[in-house]
Amino acid sequence: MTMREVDLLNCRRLPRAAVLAACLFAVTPSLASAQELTDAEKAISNVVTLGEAADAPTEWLGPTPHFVMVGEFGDYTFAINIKDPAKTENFKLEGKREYRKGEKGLDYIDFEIAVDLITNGIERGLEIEFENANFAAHPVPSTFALQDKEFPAGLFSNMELQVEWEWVEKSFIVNDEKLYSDGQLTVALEDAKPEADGTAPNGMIGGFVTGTMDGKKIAISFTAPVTEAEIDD
Amino acid sequence: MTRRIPHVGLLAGLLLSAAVLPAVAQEMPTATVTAVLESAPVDRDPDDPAIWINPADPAKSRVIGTDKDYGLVVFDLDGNIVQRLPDGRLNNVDVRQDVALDGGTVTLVAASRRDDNTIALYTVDKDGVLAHAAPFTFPGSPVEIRYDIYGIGLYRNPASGETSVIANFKTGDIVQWVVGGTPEKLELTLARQFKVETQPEGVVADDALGLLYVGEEDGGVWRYQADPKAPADGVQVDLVGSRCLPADDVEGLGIYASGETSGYLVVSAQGMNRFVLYPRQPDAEGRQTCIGSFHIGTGATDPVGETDGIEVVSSGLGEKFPRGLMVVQDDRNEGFTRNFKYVSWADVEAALKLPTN
Repeated sequence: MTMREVDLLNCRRLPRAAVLAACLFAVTPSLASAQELTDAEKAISNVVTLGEAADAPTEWLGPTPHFVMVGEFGDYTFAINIKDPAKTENFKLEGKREYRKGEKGLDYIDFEIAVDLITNGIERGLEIEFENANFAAHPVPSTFALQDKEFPAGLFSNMELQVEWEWVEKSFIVNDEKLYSDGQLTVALEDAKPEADGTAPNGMIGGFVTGTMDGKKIAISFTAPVTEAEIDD
Repeated sequence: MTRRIPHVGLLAGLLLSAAVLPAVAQEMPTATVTAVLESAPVDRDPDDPAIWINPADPAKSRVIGTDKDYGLVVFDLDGNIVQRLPDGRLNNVDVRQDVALDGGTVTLVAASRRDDNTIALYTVDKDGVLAHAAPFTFPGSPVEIRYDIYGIGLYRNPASGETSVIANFKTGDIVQWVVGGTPEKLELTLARQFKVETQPEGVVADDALGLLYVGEEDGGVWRYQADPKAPADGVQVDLVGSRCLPADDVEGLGIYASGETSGYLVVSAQGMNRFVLYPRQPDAEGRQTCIGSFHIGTGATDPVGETDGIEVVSSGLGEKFPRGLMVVQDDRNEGFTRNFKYVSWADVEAALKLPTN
């Protein structure tokens, strides 16, 4: 775990008076010593490249399933350009919708894009999750400003980006997640056929998102098959 | 009721410690341990393990794991699946042996079932085979709590054999039920209900010391008296943000009892991929100061990441686990699978140079 992870995952959630003390201890060397990599090893672990080189997307790349993610997130650099997920080895792309019981039936409060991929011999998982008070209340397409509140109403969404992998040979584990509050999400495609319970574990979700954190930018275009839906009780 | 450490006092104390004793903060022993073996992959999403000890042949004990979109999966000590119980969204699980009831004793397994916010109960036969208890499920709370049942633990009073189930909810509600009735027809009687401020999950009772621990995922670890008739006055053992728990979430909790009062409370610290040890016995001021931590690195298995549910026992379970077994959920495994890792406690003792008496 990097010091930045400790800081951002934890310190902002602490009571104000405890923040300083906690973070002072959080930077003790012992916390990071078990997971030190050389610069050459960091290049293997922290640079995630898959597919042909491409510029960062500037808009949604259309309804054909794809996943393009270019930019930086924390200590990690991404250059993923998958135009045909079904035919790409070592790559899996799935979407999930989540609902909550509202006053007038189910509110569509969350969707998630999950990616499993293998690069440099390391199995990696990425999850990009968005929340709104009810995405179904907005026409498609709609553009949402990113903010870090839970289930924001109106044309706002939060985005949590999580990256996870372990480099087995080095016993090195990455487990980092952050909430973006600077950026935009455009939901460009919602192809869904509600089932009897009102959920839609089917169809497609497509969109385009840009986010900035600590001066580092990430841009993602996606169209993903939805395979799962859940009602959050 | 819970008693938080005053934040200003905490700050002053921590700053004083940092100023006067900087070495202390940096010398919390941290070690790498490797797992002896790993279980077969779990189909969906494993979360929490429990360990049933076979009194006739400890090497034939069982690990009972939740697959939280499926039910329970039972493993032998080589990690092979020996029983599957497709009983729904079972999140956490615990086990107690010699549970005293009218007309006999049973071995009882309790699991928190999120489908209907119930407590699912099983009995275990002499060979470690689980069966639905009668009734199989009980409401987790006396009044409906809509936001999921989550963690669960069992407490057995060693003197009386009376056993209770402690279930917690994402709302922070914690409900303790006393188990009664007969082996053929169980009953749960509400004993007490209390609350922590934010979402809890891990819960474990130290039966011998009569203590109950609850992990508040973003908050820390709380200690209560386990007696269901005792007032629910909580004492904060540690808080997220401390030098021992610098990152959330607090996940599974376990008790390694090496003697009457000796041994450790083990806390799964998810955000650090690490397990933190505290002494079982609080000091004269009621404090339990962490004494070390470890993570599970590459060895016979891959490392353990995003740690979740855990269980630990101190009984020797055959040659592989002569001083006890710790089982931990592993969220990331070869082939994008998930499973449980089996750790020999002897390896933890050696890595952290723990006393072995």
